[in-house]
Amino acid sequence: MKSELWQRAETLFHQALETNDDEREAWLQIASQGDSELLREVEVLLRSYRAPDSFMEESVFSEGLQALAADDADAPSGKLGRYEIIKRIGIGGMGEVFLAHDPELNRQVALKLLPALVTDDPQRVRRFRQEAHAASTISHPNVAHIYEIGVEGNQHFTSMEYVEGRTLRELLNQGPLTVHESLKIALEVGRALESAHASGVIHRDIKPENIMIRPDGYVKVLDFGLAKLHRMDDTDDLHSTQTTTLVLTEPGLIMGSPSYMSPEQARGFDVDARADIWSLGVVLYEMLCGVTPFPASTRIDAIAALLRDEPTPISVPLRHAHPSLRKLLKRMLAKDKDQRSRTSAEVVADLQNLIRDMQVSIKRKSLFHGPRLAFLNHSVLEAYRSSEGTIIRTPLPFFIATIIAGIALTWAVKSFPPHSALPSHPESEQQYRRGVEAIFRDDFYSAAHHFNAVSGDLHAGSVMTHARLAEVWAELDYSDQANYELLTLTNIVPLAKSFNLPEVDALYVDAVKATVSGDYRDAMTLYRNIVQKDVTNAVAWMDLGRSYERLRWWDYAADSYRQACAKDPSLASAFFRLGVVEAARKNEPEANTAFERAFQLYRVANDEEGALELLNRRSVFAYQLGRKDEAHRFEEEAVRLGHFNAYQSVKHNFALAAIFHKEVQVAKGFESEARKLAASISLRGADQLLVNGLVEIAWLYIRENDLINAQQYVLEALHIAQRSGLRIGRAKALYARAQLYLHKGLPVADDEFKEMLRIEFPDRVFPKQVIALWLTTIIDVDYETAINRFREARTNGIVIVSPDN
Amino acid sequence: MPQNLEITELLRRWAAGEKAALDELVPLVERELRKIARRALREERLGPTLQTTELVNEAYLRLVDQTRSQWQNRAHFFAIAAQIVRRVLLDHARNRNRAKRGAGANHLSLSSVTVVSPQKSQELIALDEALIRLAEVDPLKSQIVELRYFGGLSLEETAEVLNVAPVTISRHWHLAKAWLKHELG
Repeated sequence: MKSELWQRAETLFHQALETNDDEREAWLQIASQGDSELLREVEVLLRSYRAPDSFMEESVFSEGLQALAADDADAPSGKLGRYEIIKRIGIGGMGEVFLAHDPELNRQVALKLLPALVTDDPQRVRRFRQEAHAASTISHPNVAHIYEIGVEGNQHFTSMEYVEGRTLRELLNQGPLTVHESLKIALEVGRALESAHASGVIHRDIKPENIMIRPDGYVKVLDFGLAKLHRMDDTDDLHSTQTTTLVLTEPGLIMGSPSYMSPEQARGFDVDARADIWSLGVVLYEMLCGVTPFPASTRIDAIAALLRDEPTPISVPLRHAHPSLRKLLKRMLAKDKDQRSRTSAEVVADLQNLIRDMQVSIKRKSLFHGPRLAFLNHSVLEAYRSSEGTIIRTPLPFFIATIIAGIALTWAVKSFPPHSALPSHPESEQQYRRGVEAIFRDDFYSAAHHFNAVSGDLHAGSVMTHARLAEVWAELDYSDQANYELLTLTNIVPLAKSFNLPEVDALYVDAVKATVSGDYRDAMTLYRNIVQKDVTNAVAWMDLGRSYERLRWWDYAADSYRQACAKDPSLASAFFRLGVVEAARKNEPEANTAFERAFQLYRVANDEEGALELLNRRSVFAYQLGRKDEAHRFEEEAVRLGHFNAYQSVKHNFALAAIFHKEVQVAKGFESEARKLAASISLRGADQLLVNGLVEIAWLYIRENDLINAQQYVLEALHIAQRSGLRIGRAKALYARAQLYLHKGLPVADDEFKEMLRIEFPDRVFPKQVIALWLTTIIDVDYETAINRFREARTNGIVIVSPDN
Repeated sequence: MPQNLEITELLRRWAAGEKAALDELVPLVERELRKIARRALREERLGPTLQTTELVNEAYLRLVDQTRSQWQNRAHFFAIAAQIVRRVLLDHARNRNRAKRGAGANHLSLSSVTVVSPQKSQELIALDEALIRLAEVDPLKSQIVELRYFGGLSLEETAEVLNVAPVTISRHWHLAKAWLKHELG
């Protein structure tokens, strides 16, 4: 029974908690009625109650269960044979795994202890030892080596190479991998299998949990020769969702991780090397798509699906996949093992070829690199920001489409040397030239239009057209068109084989290829070479200028454009570009002279698009210099001139909405006009224009801290981008939204940011701090610095560097 | 007798005051808990955000014939689970301590190498001793601590198990914590 003192103390304790802080002491004095022992007791309890700490906040139940799980009646001692146990690193269906030290060879090993359940059966032990012994003879860098198969007392164990790193499962938990990463990992697993199969060892349990990725990226396959260990000990498990490793050991017994198990395994038949090929196919599929091809919630379902269904069609992310990749997956995942790739060596060869073919496409696209001006009124905004004295760099991403365009180019470049890379018909030449002109003024819509008009000609000379088109699709957010381009190229490759590509043209194709894959320095060098070989070629000077612009070498760019103007005084885009660069350098008279000359030339050539684009630029420039009225006049003129051109009109109306965003009614008028026009043109392209326009306006509001308006625009943009599958558009909207959140003091939506960052740096996980760092740096410093800091931070762990450091 | 009927019957007998029934119950429950724990560990369900009672519930549902069980059965079952966890953790902590002192290092159970840290071992041993003292003056508080801290039950679950209002449980819990903290400080 409770002592009387304890009961009184308890009562006082609770009453004291209900009194005011400042009265408590006096109250206690009275309430304790001079009982000093009671008073002390209650004071102690109150003090202890108030002390700020987390005493007993967390239950130890979890640890308790771990202890329960770990206990084993005949658990071995802290040493096992000569091995000194360091810590437990895992527990699984096949027993516990410990990190241990081998003093004899002075190395760390992974020690796998076989559960008594297994070792009680002498036959199973014998079979296991046989298999493990065979596996221990495999010596391959991608196979975690088995050092020893031993017994200590009753405890059977294997010691094997300890591999630090993360399992592929852990990696996958962060989302699907890039195509390149997936292929690379699959290739290394394939090599491991090749070597094991050559030694007559079948893994039987290839799954992401058994594939380790070391910190240096090296891939190691674990548990060769251990699969025969497993046995199903509980039929209930068939209904559970777990995928404990269970594998066929006796005919008729179904075991294994159902999601990765080959149909013959699921049926309980004998397995051969092709079972591993199947499992690797499932793993590759999962790496690419983020899900396994036969998703199911329970074992029974999984097995049923596996036997019955065709793989879920390779999902959206793989729609654009290299056809050979899809073919390879199909071969690896053939239900009938006779239709499957026959040997792992064959799979390895296929994977190698694929990786080689896709190499160029893998270069990562930066969110900020790329032509500075690309989308519609980005420049208006830029001007606006500059006038505020702060420059916020707007992302001009072009990534995914670029990859596909890159593939297109690789194929073109690799396999065909035509007579001339340039179009050969006069009309095609004209279109090509206009397309190039359009590229030079960042009018990628028109460029696409012109190139498209001639890209249908399946003659060898259209290589440059296709190359340019790939460049354009890369600038635009049009991955499916890029994909279409890719297919077209595949078709013309055989036709072009018999031709030879002149040196300059070959350089050209290389240069465009470098541009598309984001290697601006390489592109610049190549264009320099071209110019040296053909100094009179104004177009080459233009391309060189553009490559300087991408590197932000303004002086060189201006010089190149001057050269282009001199070589071809009728080349309107040369003057246009010169104007743009001079405007960027704030050389007003030079810029205006160049712009006026360009405008004359456009009018002479009756090039309405050029004239419109020019008016837009002049408007931006005027706005930048604080001359809003002049800016307005240029845009009005553009709208008047371009009323037949819906694309241009959408752009200009959005530009006007941006210029007048402070006069809400006026701005709304332009905006609704832009929306109306966008609705009138073809759906997809209109959406892209809309998203860009909306994001730009959102940025204006963000700058002004008008977060309510900003949010509205961002969300609409995001919605449209998602609806239409615009990846760049989505990234831009997400980026704007992240900025918005930062302004609001809200946590940035991590997942979405990660998604963007994954596109940017496809290989890593990003802790919050890094994202924050990235954000802060890109706001106030230029992209190169931000990225360098970001990379630095990543290499050094996480260091938050304030922007002014 | 099928296992679940056996356990249901034992629970009933124990609830009716038959102390010996507990001796038979504990190993049965413990075996089931170990099974569940191993599987939870394999499935990586033993995280910090673990829904612990879910696991015990799982064991309860497996072991007890629902059609013949009464709420007291459930309460007693959870109480047994908490007791088991407490004992097992204490074993690990003591093993750990022995190892630290150098005695019997060779007999150290492998698993205790990682489950309980040396610091935690000290804490657990001290807490256990304090709880025994607390049980002498106030068995209800001691039991609440056992259910909550070792059994992982929430206030509401503890209230349900002991058939006491949550607010009362909360008052006991706060006082017990304050007392224990002082004792251990």
